[in-house]
Amino acid sequence: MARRRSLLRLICAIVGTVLLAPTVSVGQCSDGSTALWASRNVVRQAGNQVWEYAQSWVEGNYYLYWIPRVTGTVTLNGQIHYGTNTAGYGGIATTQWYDAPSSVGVGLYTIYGFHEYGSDCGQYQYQNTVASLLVERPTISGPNATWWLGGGSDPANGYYNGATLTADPKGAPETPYWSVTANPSKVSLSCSVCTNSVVASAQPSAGCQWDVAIKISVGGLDSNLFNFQVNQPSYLVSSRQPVDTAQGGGWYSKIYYNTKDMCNNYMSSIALNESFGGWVNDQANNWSRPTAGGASGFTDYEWFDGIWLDCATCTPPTMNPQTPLSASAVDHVSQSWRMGSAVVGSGVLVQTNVFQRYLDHARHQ
Amino acid sequence: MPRNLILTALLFCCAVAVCPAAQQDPDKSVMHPAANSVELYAAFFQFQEALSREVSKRLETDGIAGEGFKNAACVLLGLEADDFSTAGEVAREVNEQLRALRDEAATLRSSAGKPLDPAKAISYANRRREAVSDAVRRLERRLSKQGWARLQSYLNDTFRMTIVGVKVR
Repeated sequence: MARRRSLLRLICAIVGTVLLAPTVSVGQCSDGSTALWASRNVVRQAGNQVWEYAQSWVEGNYYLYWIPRVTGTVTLNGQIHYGTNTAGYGGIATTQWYDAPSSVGVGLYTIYGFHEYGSDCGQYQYQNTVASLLVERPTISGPNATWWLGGGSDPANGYYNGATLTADPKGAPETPYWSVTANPSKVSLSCSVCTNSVVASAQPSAGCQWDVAIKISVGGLDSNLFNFQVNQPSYLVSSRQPVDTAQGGGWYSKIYYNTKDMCNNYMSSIALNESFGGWVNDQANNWSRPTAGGASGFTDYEWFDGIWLDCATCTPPTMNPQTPLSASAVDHVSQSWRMGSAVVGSGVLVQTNVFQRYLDHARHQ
Repeated sequence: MPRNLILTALLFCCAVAVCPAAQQDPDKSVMHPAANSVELYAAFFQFQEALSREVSKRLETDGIAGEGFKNAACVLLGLEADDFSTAGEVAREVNEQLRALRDEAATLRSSAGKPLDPAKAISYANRRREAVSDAVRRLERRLSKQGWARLQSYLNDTFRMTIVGVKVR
């Protein structure tokens, strides 16, 4: 490419000498004030407009004795423009092009200027110039997921229902314009013309997938899509066998769980709560019934539902855990578990089970 | 025909003879216009007129996108919108003056059938310099203080470096 350009310039120089040759000679065409100027530039006029230009002109007392000419070549992974312009005596020769990177492409825009000057005195001079500008698509950075916790947030445990994304316009002068191009109902943006936008969750993703796409645009030049997921606590898994211990004349059962998200990742401490439906007696009883409650978190990744009753005078009376455990069911209730909030009924539903009490223990079924 | 051929051959010989001596290597003899020089402002007025023309074209074809384009151009120069418009007006005015000067000189040259005599040529060069200097003063007067400072900073620090030249004696 460079060899071809050099050859081309040599030809231009020879032809230029002919074309820029004086018609009439004068005695003096330059003095200390005479300067042959060349400018070349690649300007990011706007996010999606690149202006490449090359100019030749002469300054000084004898500028009217000179004819300037410019030949410009623009490359972007290969030549995309080529042109020549010759000005009149004392004029400014200009070649220029405007390109939209969204259609021409991004990359290194380079303009090669070949500047020629011919005077009435038969002088011929030239100079080469080059200028480059790297034009890149704008980019988005930041976490590519946030949480859906039923509308709230759990900052104490580090679970937020929004994530701050940052735009890098990559040299474009405009403030980026944000938009959601896939599943816009699942998130909302805190601002659309800004550098930092908070993406707040509005609905969970459809599984373990980055099904929300966000992009920014600077004057019409788009970023690549930034894929985003709205994750949520998804389900509970039993982390170990329940443990039943004696509590006075009754029992204390611990039922252990881990919480998993939509991508089957274990979740660390998160606020949770339970709620109950209507109780059903499996036999006549006067057992007191627990009140639904919540917890603000737990240690590490495991938590348990601790259930106890110590009432030897009740009907039927409670018993210490037997071996094997008693199969005599006393009552049961539908129990729902929600994550992301300690407030009963708030958060994301992750499990509904039957809370079953027996004479000497309790279980989730 | 033979006469043209002889002339061409002579010119070719001249080119071959002259080119090596005339070659310039900007990397070794890079000269930029002096800060705040007439040369620098003359180049800027060209640049600004082209930029303003492009902004106007965009505003005419698509108002909203055009506004964005104008804002981008302002950011490029570090100017507020009003100052950008002012700079565009001054650039257009002075460029018209310079074009008129060139046209006048070209007419004289054409009617005389030969280059202007040196005294006349130098007087045009002086008029040209005066026109640019006047425009610079006008620009300074019409721009906000902050705008003028920012523009000078852009011209002297950034724009000046896009121009290279060589002296000829």
